[in-house]
Amino acid sequence: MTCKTILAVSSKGGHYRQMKALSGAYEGHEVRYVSTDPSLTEFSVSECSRTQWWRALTNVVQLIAIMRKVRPDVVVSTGALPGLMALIVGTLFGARTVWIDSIANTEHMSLSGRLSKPFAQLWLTQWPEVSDRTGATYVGAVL
Amino acid sequence: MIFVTVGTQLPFPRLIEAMDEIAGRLYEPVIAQTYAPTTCKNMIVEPQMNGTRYSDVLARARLIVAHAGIGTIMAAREASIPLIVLPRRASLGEHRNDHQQGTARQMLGHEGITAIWSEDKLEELLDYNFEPPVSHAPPALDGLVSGLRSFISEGA
Repeated sequence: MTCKTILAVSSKGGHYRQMKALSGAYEGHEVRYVSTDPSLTEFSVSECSRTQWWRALTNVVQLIAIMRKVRPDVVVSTGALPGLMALIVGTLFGARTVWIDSIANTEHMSLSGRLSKPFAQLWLTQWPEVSDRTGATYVGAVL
Repeated sequence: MIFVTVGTQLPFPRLIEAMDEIAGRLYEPVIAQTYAPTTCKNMIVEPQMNGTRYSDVLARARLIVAHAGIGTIMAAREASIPLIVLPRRASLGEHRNDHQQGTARQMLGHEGITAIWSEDKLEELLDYNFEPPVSHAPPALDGLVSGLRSFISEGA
């Protein structure tokens, strides 16, 4: 098995905690974490949400700088909006991409999740019911 | 000690005000992470906590009272500390949408995690001796980890 470089991008709080719960998936690979809290992870990007969507443009600039340094083979995100931007930038860099919609979205895919669909080779929900409704793949959940 | 926490995104005055009032009648310290600076009469307030501080306070708690945030639920579960969640309501301006209502409904039947839909239910529950949540890895996690793992190794 070849060692891949994985960029794991999530907002702080619950999104980050879900990301860390998945660390077993990266054994034998190199994983570099990005969050919206500089005290939490090696790399950080600005906080942004739909009410401050313009900050997503700042995220793009920050993520380009990070990806030029890291050159990820795979970009994984558990949300939220900065994670969507990471999948878009990752696609431009030729990385394979994974969206894991937060387990908080028990009935619908999140807005960032819906927008991520064209940029995610693996598009996951953590609820079977949401999978039935949206076509997102369900393979398991963090809780 | 009871730990009250509202997470990293938004304040939750309805929960904080209710707990502050109840805390005045308790013989037990209450520490509250409130997101926004708040004046409380009966609780020790720390609006924001970094990860280390949060884990320290949480680990010392007998009981956690919180919004229905996933970070909080996972933290309580990992530390095996009983948790009461009050989901935020979008109609009261407490969140962008009602996803926490769904999270709270999904927590029904999870040992050690109690969901309530009104702050009026809080006080009677605080004395209750809850079983702690189980801290071992949830069964559905394996599927997610191995799905992710095979996607990573598939690529050239």
